[in-house]
Amino acid sequence: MARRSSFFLLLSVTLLVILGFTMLASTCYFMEKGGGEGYFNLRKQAFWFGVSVAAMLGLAWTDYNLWAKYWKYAFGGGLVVLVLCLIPGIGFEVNGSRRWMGASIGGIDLRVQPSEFAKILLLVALSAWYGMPDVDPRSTRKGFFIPAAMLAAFVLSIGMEEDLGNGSLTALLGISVMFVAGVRMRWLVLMGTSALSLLAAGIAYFPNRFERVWILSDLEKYKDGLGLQQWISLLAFGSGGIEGRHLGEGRMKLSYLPEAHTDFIFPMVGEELGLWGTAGTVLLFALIVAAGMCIAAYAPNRYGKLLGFGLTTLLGCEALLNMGVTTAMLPNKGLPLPFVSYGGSSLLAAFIAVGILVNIHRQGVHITRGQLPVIRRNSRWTPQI
Amino acid sequence: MVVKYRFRLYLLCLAMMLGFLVLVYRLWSLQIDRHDEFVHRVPSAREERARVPGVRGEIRDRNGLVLASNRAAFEVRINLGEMVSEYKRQLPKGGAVPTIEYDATEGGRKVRKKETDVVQIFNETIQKAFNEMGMAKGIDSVDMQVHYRTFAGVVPWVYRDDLTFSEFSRCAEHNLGLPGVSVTERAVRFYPYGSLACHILGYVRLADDQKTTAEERSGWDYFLPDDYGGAGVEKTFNEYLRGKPGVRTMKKNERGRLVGEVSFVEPHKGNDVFLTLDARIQFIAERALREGGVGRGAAVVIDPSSGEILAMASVPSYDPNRFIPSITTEEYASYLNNPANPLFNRAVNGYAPGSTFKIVTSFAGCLADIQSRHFNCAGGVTYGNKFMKCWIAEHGGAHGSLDVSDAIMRSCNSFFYLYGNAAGIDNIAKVGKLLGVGERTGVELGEESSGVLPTPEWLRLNYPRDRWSPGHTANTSIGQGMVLATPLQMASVVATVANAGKAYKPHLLKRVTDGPDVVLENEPTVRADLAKEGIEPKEVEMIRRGMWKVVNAEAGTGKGARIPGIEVAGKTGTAQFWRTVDGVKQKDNHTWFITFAPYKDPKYAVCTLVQGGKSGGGCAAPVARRILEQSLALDNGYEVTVQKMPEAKGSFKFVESVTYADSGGVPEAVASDEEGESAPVREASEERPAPRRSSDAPTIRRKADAAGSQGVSAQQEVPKAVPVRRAGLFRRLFQ
Repeated sequence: MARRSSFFLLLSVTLLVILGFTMLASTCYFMEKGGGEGYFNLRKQAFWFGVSVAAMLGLAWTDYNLWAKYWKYAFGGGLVVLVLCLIPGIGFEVNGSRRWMGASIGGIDLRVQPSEFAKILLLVALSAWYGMPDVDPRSTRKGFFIPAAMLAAFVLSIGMEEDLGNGSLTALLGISVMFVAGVRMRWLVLMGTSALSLLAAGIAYFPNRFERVWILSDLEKYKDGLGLQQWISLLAFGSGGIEGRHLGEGRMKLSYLPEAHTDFIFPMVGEELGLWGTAGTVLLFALIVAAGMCIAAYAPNRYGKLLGFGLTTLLGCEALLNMGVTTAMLPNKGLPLPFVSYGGSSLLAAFIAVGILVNIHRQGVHITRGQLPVIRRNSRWTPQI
Repeated sequence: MVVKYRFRLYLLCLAMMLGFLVLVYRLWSLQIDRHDEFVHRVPSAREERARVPGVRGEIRDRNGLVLASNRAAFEVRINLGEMVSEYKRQLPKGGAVPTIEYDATEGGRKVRKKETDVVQIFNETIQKAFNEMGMAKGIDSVDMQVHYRTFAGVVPWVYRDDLTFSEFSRCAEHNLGLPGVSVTERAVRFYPYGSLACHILGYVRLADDQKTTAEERSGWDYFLPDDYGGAGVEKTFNEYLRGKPGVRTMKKNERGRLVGEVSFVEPHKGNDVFLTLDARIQFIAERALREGGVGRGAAVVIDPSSGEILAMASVPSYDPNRFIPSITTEEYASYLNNPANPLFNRAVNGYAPGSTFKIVTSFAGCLADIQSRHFNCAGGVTYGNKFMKCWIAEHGGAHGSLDVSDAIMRSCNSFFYLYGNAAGIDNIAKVGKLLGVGERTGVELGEESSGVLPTPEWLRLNYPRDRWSPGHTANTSIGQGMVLATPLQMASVVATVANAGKAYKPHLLKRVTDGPDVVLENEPTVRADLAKEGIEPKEVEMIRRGMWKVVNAEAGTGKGARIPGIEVAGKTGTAQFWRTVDGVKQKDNHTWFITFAPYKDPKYAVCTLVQGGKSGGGCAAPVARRILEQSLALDNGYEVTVQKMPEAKGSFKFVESVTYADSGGVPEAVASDEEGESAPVREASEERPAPRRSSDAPTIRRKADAAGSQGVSAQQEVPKAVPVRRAGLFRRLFQ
């Protein structure tokens, strides 16, 4: 398995992308003006898919260790785009959070969600930091405070965009990476607690956030207000049953379920393809996580291990959070389902992650019978075997 | 490090796998365990039931001639709820639905409320499309807004109810494609004979949308209410006539778009109602009133042997077709503001009956057993400090001693003053009750008034300051003073006389049929049998004899009613009445004639009333004669073709006498008829404008207001032919 991690990874990704395009065609037919005959959204997504595949191929053929050299730029650049979102005129607000920035180039509206990329940049920066030979993760200053400060800067600027979902995800990612890097448990506990209290403060401070948590206790009661989206998504899952209503037969997309083609594509899978579809999706994501973890485990150096782990966790957590939200186990927040949801930035970011993972896999050190892994401590560069 | 790193990595990997497991468990419980719970709560393709109003039954005369039938009308109805929701759906991103504010009272407090501005949406969408076709019409914006607020979608709002067939076919050809608009063909009332018997038939009005109750609407997705009768027998027999609604079941897809018809249960026609009317006699009566130049008046023909009303005419009249399906405000106002009041059925309204009432008084004498006594006319009688004159006193003289039949012949007032007082007001009241004077006859017309037969009791209730005196009795005895009787009541009285004392209830309903099946056969009911009350046939004969003399004796007052070859009996009446026109009192007598013929075995009992006439003998009698003569001739091969009747225009011209061009040999009317000058009629019998309740008023076409006529182009006559765009290949494949 471990040797073929890339194959399984790419297989899962391909299947998920196919699912995504199928569901997009099925859903958008009803969502667009003019009956969706133009498949406008589908064509737009196809364009992004092309861009994404190109990016993935490029990254798969580029040595990932290259990025470690530029970790400072990665860190700085990520922070800058996040802050740019807050500046009126460049960033703008959608559904209550200012996580978009956009420009109109040649009459085509280009809108990107920088936080998608910022997360990857943060992972590169963090992994590169811990990959440096003079950084002992168990030390206090270099091992904890500096990376913690880097993480806090990202989390706070995402928090400033009033995007709690991405903020917590970023915090989770950072803490996981630090955990795997081997930071002392006491610091991690401290970080975890402060992150949770920050989250609690955010829930209390921003409007609607508390209610979004509260309504989960009885969604049906709030189905006319904030609970609408999640309630309808439950209806979609429930009415789909095992077999589903079959492709194109879904009803909730008929202007009942808002965002049915983006964040809430998963209930559409449940409604039209049934439990087979949803369980299959979950399985594919589990496969991605398993493959990613294998890649990370056999990465040639600490930087690679951490980066591989971080990117896998990013994909896995995004999927988990999205599916948790749509099944009403988590409060509603705007996170897309990687590979499946409509949206260019999300697709591109996910493919960038895959590309880097593939490259890590290509440089991986695989244990064969009678051969011990050659791992040099604290080495930044391990020759390929 | 390596071990620790691996351990922590696997730990987190395990945590994520656990997360996926939880997710699968959750999906399992949602999609398998709770599947049944959710699957029924999902909006799905559904069937919607639309109520198709029933077709009203026909109204026919006794011989089956159709007096009220149905014709096809084309109307445009708009489901406002659907219009608004489609508008919202097509709204460009970021566009706002127009709203307006209105005042409402909520729990006693005045609040400003916001709602969708349907009028603007309508103007932007549907009105625009109709404008392009040249078929737009202004609307009453307030009415539309209130309709939307009340019903939203269930009861479609009537946009146009007066489409012509060519407009209808143009709509059908264009297939409109406007959401919520339905162009339908509907059966509406049609009166083939115009204003013939209009006061009996009444009219039909559109259901008042605001009055359909929630119970009626429940269970229907679209509720098209039935029309209902607003006046006349249309109203009285509404329950029989009303059709049974049909059901159109339509399929709507998940998006709420209509995709087709599932089933259609056709509406049933309501029951047919056969009236006792004979259209030919009705036509004869109406023609007689019109040709006689009667400005305002009424005629009633009753079959004395059953109480069936054969004709009931009232002039001026109206054309009920103008009320279908709705009437313009101006037209309706012209009816209402017409001082002659054409909407008003004079045949069932109370007027001072004058001397015709002496027949009732005569019967009262029979009850008191004074019918064979003689009373002396000395030109008048003194009651209290007032000398009440007989009409003969004007011409200088007196009638001398008279018996009942001679007194009837001469219409002597003095005799009846004395005779009435001798009989007593109680006996007059009793006979009045038996004959149906002073109370509603129960004829199947809601507009009937009861008339007044004054008694001491009645006076105490209505004029507490007055006290009953023999003078009152004397005045009542000659049908003056406070007495009011309707032409129908007097026709019923004369029918009783003709029928030798057996009083039938006058009625209009002959039978009700459902297709070939008879649902109801209306049997005549006896109101009173005078023989059982102690009035013997020979006493009745005395009164009949008196009525015979009125027409046939030289000294009779009603010689104008003589018909060669037929023995006619009758009684004239002239009640003095003044109308106040612009502050000037003007003579406007109510002249009456009640008659029956032939004398032996009477076939018809007729009562005619001519308002603004000179005398009963000169004005009312010739009309009655005309009706009798032609009606009796029907049995001898006289042919009458019932034709469409134009509206009778009312007039206030004083009628000196009524003559018909084609009738020769009518004896000249007696110049000096009886006139009850001794006690002028009070003016209480002023005609009330009809109808009395707003729910009975005809449907008045709403006028367009400023907001409702936005963008309606002025030219509407010559619509341009708009080429119909062919649907694209894709549409044609998938539609």
